[in-house]
Amino acid sequence: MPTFLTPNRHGYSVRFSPYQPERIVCATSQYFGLAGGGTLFLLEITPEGNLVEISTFQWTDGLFDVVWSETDANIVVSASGDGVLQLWNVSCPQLPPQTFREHKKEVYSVDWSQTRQEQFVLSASWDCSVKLWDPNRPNSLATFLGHSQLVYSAMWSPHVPSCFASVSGDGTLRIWNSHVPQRATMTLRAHDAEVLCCDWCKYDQNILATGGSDGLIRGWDLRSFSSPIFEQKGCEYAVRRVKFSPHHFSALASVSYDFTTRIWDFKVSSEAIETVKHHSEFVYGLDFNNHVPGQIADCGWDSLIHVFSPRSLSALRPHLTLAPK
Amino acid sequence: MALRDLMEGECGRPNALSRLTSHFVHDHTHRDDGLRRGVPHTEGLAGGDSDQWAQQFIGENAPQTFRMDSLLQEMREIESSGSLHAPVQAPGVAALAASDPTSLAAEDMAWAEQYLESGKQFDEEPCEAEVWNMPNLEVGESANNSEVFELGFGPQWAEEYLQSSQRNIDVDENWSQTFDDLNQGSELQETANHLLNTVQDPNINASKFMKFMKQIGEGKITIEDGEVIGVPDGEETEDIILSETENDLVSTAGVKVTEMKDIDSSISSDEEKQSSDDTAEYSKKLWSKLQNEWEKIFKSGEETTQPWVTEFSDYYDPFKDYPFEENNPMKEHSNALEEGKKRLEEGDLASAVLCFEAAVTNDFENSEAWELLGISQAENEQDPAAISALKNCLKLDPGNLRALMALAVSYTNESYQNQACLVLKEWLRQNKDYCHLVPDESSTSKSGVASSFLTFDTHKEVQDLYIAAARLHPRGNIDADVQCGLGVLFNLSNEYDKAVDCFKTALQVKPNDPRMWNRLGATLANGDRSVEAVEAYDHALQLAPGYIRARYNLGITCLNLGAHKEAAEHLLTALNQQAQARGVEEAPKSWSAMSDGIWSTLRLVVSLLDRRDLHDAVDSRNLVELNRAILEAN
Repeated sequence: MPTFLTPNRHGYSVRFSPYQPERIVCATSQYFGLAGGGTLFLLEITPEGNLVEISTFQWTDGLFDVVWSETDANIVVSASGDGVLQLWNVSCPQLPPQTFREHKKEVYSVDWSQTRQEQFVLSASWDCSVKLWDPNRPNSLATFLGHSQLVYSAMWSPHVPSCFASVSGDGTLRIWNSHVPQRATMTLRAHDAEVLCCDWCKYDQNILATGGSDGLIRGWDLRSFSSPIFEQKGCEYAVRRVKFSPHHFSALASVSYDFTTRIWDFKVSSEAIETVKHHSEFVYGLDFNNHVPGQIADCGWDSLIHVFSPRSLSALRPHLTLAPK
Repeated sequence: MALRDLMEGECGRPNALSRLTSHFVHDHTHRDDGLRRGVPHTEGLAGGDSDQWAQQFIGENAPQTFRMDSLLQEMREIESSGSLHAPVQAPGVAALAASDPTSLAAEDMAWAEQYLESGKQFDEEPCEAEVWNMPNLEVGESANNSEVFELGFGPQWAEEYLQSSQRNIDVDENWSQTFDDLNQGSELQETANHLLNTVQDPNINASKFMKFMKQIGEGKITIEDGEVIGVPDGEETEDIILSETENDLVSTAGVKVTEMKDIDSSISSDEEKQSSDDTAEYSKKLWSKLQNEWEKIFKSGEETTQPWVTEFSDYYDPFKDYPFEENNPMKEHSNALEEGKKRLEEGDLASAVLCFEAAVTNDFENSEAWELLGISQAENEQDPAAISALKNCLKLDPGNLRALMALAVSYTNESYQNQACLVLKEWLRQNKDYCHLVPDESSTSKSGVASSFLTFDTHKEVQDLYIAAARLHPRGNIDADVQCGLGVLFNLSNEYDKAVDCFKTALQVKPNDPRMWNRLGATLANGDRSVEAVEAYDHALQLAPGYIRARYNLGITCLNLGAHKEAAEHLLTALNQQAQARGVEEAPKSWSAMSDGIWSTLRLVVSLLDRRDLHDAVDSRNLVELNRAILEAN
């Protein structure tokens, strides 16, 4: 299994490139993100199965999240603890990044539009706001206020343009229309705890999942949000990140403070179908490879980045056809 | 900088570490709290503004988890404030809680909630309360105010201790624990120690992060201005100078603590008791007052939300109202229903739909019209409209089997799989041949959540019923509808091969039913048997050339087979057929008669054909342009 060690740097987020299936970028911080700076690692999986470093990018504050551009194979955007977003061109590592400074506190999550109609960046910050950016312009296009506590994550819907979800320490999940920043279109109480992450189902535009500091992963159908449609139990501590599989309708992966990476299939059971414990510290980053079915990358505070293919995912049949009626 | 705000003295802002702590300190007692259930929190319909939201927030959050971060922030505020507030401050809080809740900042509310929750703990922390009673005293950096006051001595006492305590300067585990208990030392250490005390898991305690926390908690490492100071070798660091003053302070404060604990209570107990009695009494009163306020608010909140809750669940039915076409050319027709049936025979689906719409507009109670409308809309690739129409039909005529089956299929297509299952069950119940198979139960209570998520049990139950129904008829007398229902059920559980068998069986009985051919085709396509699917669709289209849905499906299957050009042609033909209903070629964007699904698939195909020049035409639904480019360019 390809592994990479980032000494003295603790992994916060890892993402596969949408253009090149062997490329990964990882956002890391010094001193667990509590002090010091941060580094972005650009890695590649070699044909022999090793992870090698192509280049690194330094920032004066810890980096908490990173995302690839959907239109340019060399652009990544990272989010840091001083409230700044950085846009890097990975083919020119010597150039300083373009910066976007508006948030007043740590930016904990950054996402690029997942629908083709628009190309925007969304950032979620501990100053309780979510901001919308056009990567070509230095100022934000809109600010979304409404959460009463810091926002941990904001993710674009991969089906509906201009729609995104955000989750916060106030325990709510909010769905927004990016054209209407005044208020969220929908608010629902997702957990009786802080909600740390959310992700949309890639096969059904109405389903999304949230992970909370209560260790639960709950699934929501937007058409009937009074109660969750599934609840996955098993993580002993907070669920740090949850992701739906791009290849199977009901498969999910999660990483948690209990050092595990778990695979779930919500149609089969509310318990994990596979649990992998190959980190010795909190696991913070997680991503599926869109090009290689069943391949996952995760990174944690033990400075390790692993790329692997869990057995349970390869056993699932890929769901590749559009659904005729 | 994660901890900069901590250092720069902005009070009341949670820092990164306390954030982490809050992820661990999770009070599970709320799970038993019955107060939470039944109060869904949404602004979807209410169009809530911040006031309303704040109301709901208070109402719901009264029984909240223990908010660690706000507790820490409170302690910091108390410590860092040089002048200590008189008790008069407290009633202000209760008044705030009672009065306009919207004026409270989130943090204030959190603080108030915390009082509710920590009422008992409040009584156990006399030092906090005492702070309000005692007069101001100038003390040094370390916040050992409470101990000083408790003993009734002035700052001299502190100095005396400093001198007399040459022993016990070592920093050991015991010390750090007592240290933590009395909230001394810097806030960072306090947070770190709190995290250490909270996390009991040995695996986590063994991790490097926890070791780092321990070092911070013990004061060996500290973080100043974004730099970590005091880190041992092996870690990157710029400053290896230990923070002398801080360490000294920490150790002497610790010493005082140890000494104090050794002091016989006889010296201090009397004063202690008296002052703590007063404050205990006071705090009890305050707490109970606050609790009453909270309960009042919550109760009233609950009452106001109750009717809203029921309204909401009644109102929010996505298929309640049928989306009528506004400019319906058939509206004036004298006998729209008959006209519609005629058009249906001719295969002109889109016009038939308009006729039926006109028919129901003139006569809302005509269940036949609703049924035909629903079925036609489904064939016209407009499932949401179909569902709405079929529901109206069933309201008027609950036993209409054709409508029920069509509704089940439409629900399946729209991913309301749970509803689909329930409708299939209803079909059996309404069918006099099979109603004895369905157990009698209060079906309405289990009407369930309208969602894609299908519980395994429901599905299995309905499947077993249908299999039993099929078994009732031996080989020679197959009921095509039962087979069709079974086929739909197998589709729901992704058992496509079994579903194919069911539809093929149904077709043996009804070989000229284009709908059945289409369903067979769809099942084959879903089961990755695309070539056979194409054949099935061809059958359907031969029988009914105006069958939009079958043509759309054929388009998708061609797409899956990689035949992009054919796919585009089929899709465009379908769209043309839909447009023809009006006899107008230019289509305004707001047409509901044309399916969004077909348009978005067409867009996809156009991209795959590398015809980006046509994107605009697709987005603006310019059929003329597209016809010219795709159909006529051969």
